[in-house]
Order: sequence, then structure tokens, then C-alpha cells
Amino acid sequence: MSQQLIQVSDLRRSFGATAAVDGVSFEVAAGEVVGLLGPNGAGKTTTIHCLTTLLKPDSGTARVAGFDVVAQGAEVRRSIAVTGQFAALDELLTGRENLVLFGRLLGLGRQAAAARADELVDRFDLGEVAGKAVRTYSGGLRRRLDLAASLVVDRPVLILDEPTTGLDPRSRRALWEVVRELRDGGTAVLLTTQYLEEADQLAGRVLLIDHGRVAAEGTPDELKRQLGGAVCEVRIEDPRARAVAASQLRAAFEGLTEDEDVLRLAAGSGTLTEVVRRLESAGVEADDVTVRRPTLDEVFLSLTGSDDTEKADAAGAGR
Amino acid sequence: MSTATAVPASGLRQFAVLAARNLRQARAGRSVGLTVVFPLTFFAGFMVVFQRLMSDYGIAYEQFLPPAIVVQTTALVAMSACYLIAGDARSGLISRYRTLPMSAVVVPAARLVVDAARAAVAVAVILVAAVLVGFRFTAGAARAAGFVLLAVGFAVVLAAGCAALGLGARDPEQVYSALTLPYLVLTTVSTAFVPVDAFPGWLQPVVEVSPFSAQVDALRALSTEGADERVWPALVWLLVLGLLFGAAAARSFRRSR
Repeated sequence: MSQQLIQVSDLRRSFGATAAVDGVSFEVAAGEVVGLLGPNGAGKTTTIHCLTTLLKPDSGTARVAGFDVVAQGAEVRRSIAVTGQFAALDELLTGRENLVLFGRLLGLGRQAAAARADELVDRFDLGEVAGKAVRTYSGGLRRRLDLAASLVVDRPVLILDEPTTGLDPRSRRALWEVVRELRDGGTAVLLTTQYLEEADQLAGRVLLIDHGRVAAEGTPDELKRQLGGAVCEVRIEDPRARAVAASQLRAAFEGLTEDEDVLRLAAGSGTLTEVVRRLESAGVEADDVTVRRPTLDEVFLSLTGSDDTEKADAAGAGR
Repeated sequence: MSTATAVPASGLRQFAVLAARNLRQARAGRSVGLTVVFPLTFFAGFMVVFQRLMSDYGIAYEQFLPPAIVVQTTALVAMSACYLIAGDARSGLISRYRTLPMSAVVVPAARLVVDAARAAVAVAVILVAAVLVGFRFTAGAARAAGFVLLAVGFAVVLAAGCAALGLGARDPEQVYSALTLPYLVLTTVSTAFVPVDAFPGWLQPVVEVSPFSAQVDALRALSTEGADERVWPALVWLLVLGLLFGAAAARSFRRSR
């Protein structure tokens, strides 16, 4: 096992009566990407803020590059590169000037900062806009520049809070590419995301965070297996035909649920063929038959339970 | 990507880099212009309305009023410091600085040095206007220089307090308007516009201990052959508030909430 660059143990942080982070533990090794996946308000950003010394944990410990985030904040700050949830840039300056500014603040000499800025402008495909003031940038451009700004100097630990929110697909892919390169170079990367796909693409290990706790942990594949894989949905608008179809399908499958005009059941291999065969023999014409991956909503609902029992049941049917 | 290994930046360089940026921000925002418009208007209005009345009481208002306008101006410079730094906090820039290896004093200090420059320019503008209506430094160049230094010092000290507030604020407009009330109270309940015996008896002790009164009285003493005893209270206030607000600003930056 290689060196653990982030070590979080039973981390807790409350805001008033709300426990934003309620006993989270995990580790990130050098050369590893770990994803914190969860909905808004799950406690991802609070965890990140504790690790980046923006917030003080109530209890538990967090060490970054071996340094305690409370007792050795200055050392932690020398070990991390951070991209926050909102692009933290100087609106007044141009994109390139921002990169030079952060390079200078981080200890690069005038020439080194300028050279590094040019390099990052190329790397992040910012050439056309590098000379324009940041206040004229689109959201996606800001995110790209923001990430570039956090990579002005090399750090052993990279922390990204929802780095691709608001990015177009091309920029998202470019960013993933950069993260992979850094990982291969030995950087420990911790990122939060709301997108299952992103965790899937990037993270060697994923922690599902909900209500400040780790609801599940594993490789993306392990988690998907745990979630029961795909869902088959049959949409029939005619209520009489739908009732016939439902009784036919209930005879063959367990856990069929109805949600307005949709019949939903867990899909394994051969499910789709069987569903189509049964509908044909019953003489029912479906408006739509699809097999799809569970949505992130369903993933969470199935793993964490929910106030919304109907949806939870639907997701639970995927098991 | 190639490696860019950085030596830890010295605090001095970080200070210089950020001060240059803040200066640019001040110039782009024409912030001095905005800070002097209100006091100049006020100055003109008060001169027109009260000059003759005050001269009936034996007060040369063109000599009495400008130090008050200077104090008013320096307070406005300080308040705009709050606005500017709260804007940086809102944009996330301050949060990024907080995750960088930077000493807690760098960001506030780079703010305050530019505020000092802004205050100096604003005070100069007010003094030119004052001289045009008859204000004079009657006690020589040294005391005139002392006048400007004290005025700028007061602006910096107030700006430190305002920066401490601004660093913790989420909304620049909100925190700026919240400061308007104390600003109005502190400038009016002081010897800025009328002498202390013009206030009702119960309010006079409050007026006398006000740091704003101390500041205005000291500026008046420095613009004329005033007694040195009228300057000392302002210097004591400057020191006390400077330590207090300076510590608050650094603390507000490196605050682990």
C-alpha cells in the first residue's frame, strides 16, 4: 500500500443543531483518485472545507500529507491545491494575469510565473480568452481557469469540489484527462461530485455521502452491483392495457412497481426479451419499453432509505 | 505537465503582489472619486447654510469645518475598504487565499496600504477645496504634514476595523449599508460640525469621549497653533484602535469557523 496522503477519521462538524459531517472516515493514497458522491447538503463540501483548513472540525481528526489540519494548518496549506465549488478568481484581471498572480503568491519568480501561466493557458485551451478580463468569461471558462489556477504549482494533494459542475462535455473530458495525468504522476486526488458518471470515470474508489455519513463505499463497479444494476420500465398509457400487462409481468417477475403510467422492475440478463414476449402474448402494445441504469436519485434512495417511500420502493425493486 | 516547484513565497512579496492588484482595483473602480463626492457636496452645503450663522457666534466656519469634512472623508474611505474586501470574499477569492500558504496579515495589510493611498488622495482633494474657500494652515509645514498623516492614520485604523467586518461578510452592499448608521451617529455626535457646548448637557460627555471628536479636535489643533494637549487624545485613540482593529482583521482572515 502506498503512502496515505489524506487520512480522515471520525470527522464531525455541526452548524447549530445540524450535523453537516457526522462521523466520516476515509483515506486517499498517493496516485489514487477518491470520489465523494452525494446530493447537495450531504456534507461533501463541509468535509472539503475541514481538509483545506477553511473550517475547524468539532471532533475527529484529519491529516493531509501527514499534517493535522487543526494544529498544522500552515503545513497543510503548503501541501494542497484546491479548486472550490465557485470559481475563485479576480474578476478585474485577465485570465492570464490571474494565473501569474497566483503563481507569484505561491512563490514563483516573475519569469517563472509568466512561463507557467503560458503553459497552463495552452494546457487548458484558454489561448483565445487569456487576454480578456475574467468578468467577461462564461461559467465553463471560469471553471477551467479556476482549475488551472489551482495547478500553478505542484502539490502532493489535489482537492476538487464539484470541479465539472457547469462545464460542457468537452471541457469536462479535458479536466478528467488532467486529473488522470496528475494521478498517474502520484498526486492524491479527492473530488466531490453529484455525477455518478464522473465518479465512474475518474475515481478508483467512491464514497457515497448522505446526511453527513458514509452510506456506502467501494469501487464504482462494486457499488453498481450493490445497487442491483439496471431498471426495466414499461410505459403504457391505456389503463386497461396497463392492468393486463401488470398482471402478466407479475407472474414472471418479483417486485414490480407502478408509477403513474410506468411499470418498473429490476432488469437482469434476458429481462427485456422476456418482458417483450409476455406483452406480445398478452396482446398488449406498450408505448415504450426501456432498460436503463439506476439514476443517482435511485442509488441514494435505495442505499439510504428516504422520506419518499414510493420512489424508495421503485429503487428498492432494483435489487 | 512540467513541474513548477515553488519555494514558499515570502510574505513581503505576497504583500507587494496583492497591493499592486488592490491599487489597480482602486483605480479601475474610481474609488477616490466616489469617496470625495459626498463630502464635497456636504462641505459646500454646510458652508452655504451655516457660515453666516456661525460667524455670528464668532466661529470662522471656513476654518472650523474642513477638519470635520476630512474626518468624514476618511471614514468613507474606510467604509469602502469594507465594501471592496467583502466583494473579494463574495467572489471566493478570499477563500482561495485562505487555502494558500499565506500569513494572516498579508491580505489585510495589502488592503490597508492601498486604503492609505486612497485616503491621502481624498484628503488632498478636500484640502484643495477647503483652501479655495479660505481654509489655511496657520502653524507651518510640519504641523500641516502632521495633519495629513493623522488623517491618513485614522483612515487606515478605521479601514482595519471595516476590513475585519468585510472579511466575514457575505454581501458587500449589506455590510456597507449596515455601517452607514454608526458612521452617521459617530460623525454627528462629535465636535465635527458644532462645538461641544452646542449639545444638550446629557450628551456632552458622550461627545467629549468620542474618538471622532478627538480626531477632529486634533486636526483643528494641527491646522492652527492649537495646544499639543488637543492632539494627544487622537494619537492614543489611534494606537488603541489600531492594535484592536489590526488584530481583528488578521483574526478575521485566519478564522477557523
